Amino acid sequence: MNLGVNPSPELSGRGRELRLLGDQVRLGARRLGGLVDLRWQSRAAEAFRARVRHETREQLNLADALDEAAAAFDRLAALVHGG
Amino acid sequence: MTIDVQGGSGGLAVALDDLTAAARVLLAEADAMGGLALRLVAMAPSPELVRIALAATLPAFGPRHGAEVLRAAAGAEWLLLRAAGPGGAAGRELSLGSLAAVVQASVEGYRSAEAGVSASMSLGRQVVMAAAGAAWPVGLAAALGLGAEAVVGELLGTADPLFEHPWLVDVVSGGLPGLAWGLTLSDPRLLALGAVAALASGRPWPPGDYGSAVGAATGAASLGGLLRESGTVRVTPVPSPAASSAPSSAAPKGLASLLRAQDELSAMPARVRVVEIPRRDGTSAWIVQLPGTQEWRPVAGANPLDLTSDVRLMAGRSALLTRGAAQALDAAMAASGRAGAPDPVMLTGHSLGGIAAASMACDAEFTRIHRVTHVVTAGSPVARFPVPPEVSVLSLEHRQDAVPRLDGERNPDRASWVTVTRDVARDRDVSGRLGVAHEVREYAETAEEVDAAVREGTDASLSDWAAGSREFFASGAEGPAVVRDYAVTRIGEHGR
Repeated sequence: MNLGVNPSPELSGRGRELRLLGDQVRLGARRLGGLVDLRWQSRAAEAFRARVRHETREQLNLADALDEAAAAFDRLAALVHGG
Repeated sequence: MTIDVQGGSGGLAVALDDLTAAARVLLAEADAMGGLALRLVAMAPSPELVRIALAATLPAFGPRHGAEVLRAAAGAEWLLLRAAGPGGAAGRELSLGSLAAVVQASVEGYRSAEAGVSASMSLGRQVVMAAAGAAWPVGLAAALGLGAEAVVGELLGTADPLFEHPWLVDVVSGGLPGLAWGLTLSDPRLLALGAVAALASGRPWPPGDYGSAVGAATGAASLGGLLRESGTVRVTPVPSPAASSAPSSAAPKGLASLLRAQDELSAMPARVRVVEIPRRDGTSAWIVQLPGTQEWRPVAGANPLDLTSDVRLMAGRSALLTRGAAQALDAAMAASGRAGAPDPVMLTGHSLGGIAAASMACDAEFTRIHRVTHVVTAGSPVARFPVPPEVSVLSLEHRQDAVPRLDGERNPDRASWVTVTRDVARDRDVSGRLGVAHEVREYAETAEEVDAAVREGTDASLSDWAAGSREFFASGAEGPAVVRDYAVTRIGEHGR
């Protein structure tokens, strides 16, 4: 069913753009993850590693949130376009 | 028996460098998150979404479907803003940025604190030694009457003050420029003598640093015919007991066997050993071994393993000993048909031998011809030698050994310099004797500890050092090693 409102390329492309941004955030998370490979052995180093692991998880959560937003825009575009 | 490891790939300097690099990565990610937050916020107020929302209210959509579209649009917009906000990219920017700032501040704080402590310790040593220099007549009288060590022992209430308080050596050696200043304050004649000596040695007066102070002392001694070196050096191949006893196992199995060979070498006068270790690719790796001081008279004689070489090399000057060792390596490589080949070279030595090894690794003329990749020292004051960072240095030191402290400075903490320190205070063989703490046999025991740490993988710095030096040891050798010994003799003015 055509609803008479055709989504512009801006809306259709938004999901793709958000997924690309999510991929970039995942790349950043990988860079952060590499920071735990310090050879330094001490309690302070362990605390730093734990914090880096936490930050990496948070980055991955953000990438997932961007994917979720991308899926929502894809769903909206589909609804508007074809019901 | 335990060892303490400083520097190397697992050392503090590397950790601080790693943390500085980590702070850069964190900051870059924080910036990226800031950019992402702005981009997401800019995407949110879309005219397209407004148009869709308005259209969804039209009868053509149908009430159910219109409501579904409106919910989907609101949901998508909410998810977009959530990803941009404090729980998303903006929050990530803040969190990563603050972590980067904390890491960077910690690194800078540590470095400036260390520099401050080092500067104040250095100043303290100069002041103490300047005072000692100014009061030298009193000290000299007491030392002549009681013996220098007895005077210090009396002051500290111990029979063997340098063994019990090895930091005293740091104070004296680190404060040599201050001592020179103090001496000149006490007596104008010493000021004049120092100036003449400095002129003779080409060093500034009064000396501003350790090298200048030792150089001035050498210059003053040379005015009286002491610690002077002239002529040239003769290098002659001699039969090696190591080659005749066990030729097939001549490649050192580990650091301990390298140090035990060093002990054997020390028992022979004026010898330098070159060990050729065949490699898989048909080339060779070379170990040059230099013994410690064998002649303590302050007048240069035929044996260059003497006090004159010690003092000259510590003053940053040339010595016939290192020239002889270089000639021995050249001769060994020529005998093997590998003259001028870019083979890896490890320079090792105990005491004076270690000083000479470090000096050769800094000698541009020598390293232009030979590819020095490793230096191993035992009981040697080598902290002030500017060994290039691409050369891997392993220094063994005993806490109660005064000799490695004679430069008054700690070895550099860097990725390519590992210092292993062992406390020998309770060692039964040493039993409180300063001289024994310096013996190469004791250092062989320390080397056994290093080998054990490498086998058990308990220290990252030592494991990496062992992995990087494998080609010099039996485990990395392709066939039996060849041991060549050379007699090194001063000839000319002091020669036979």
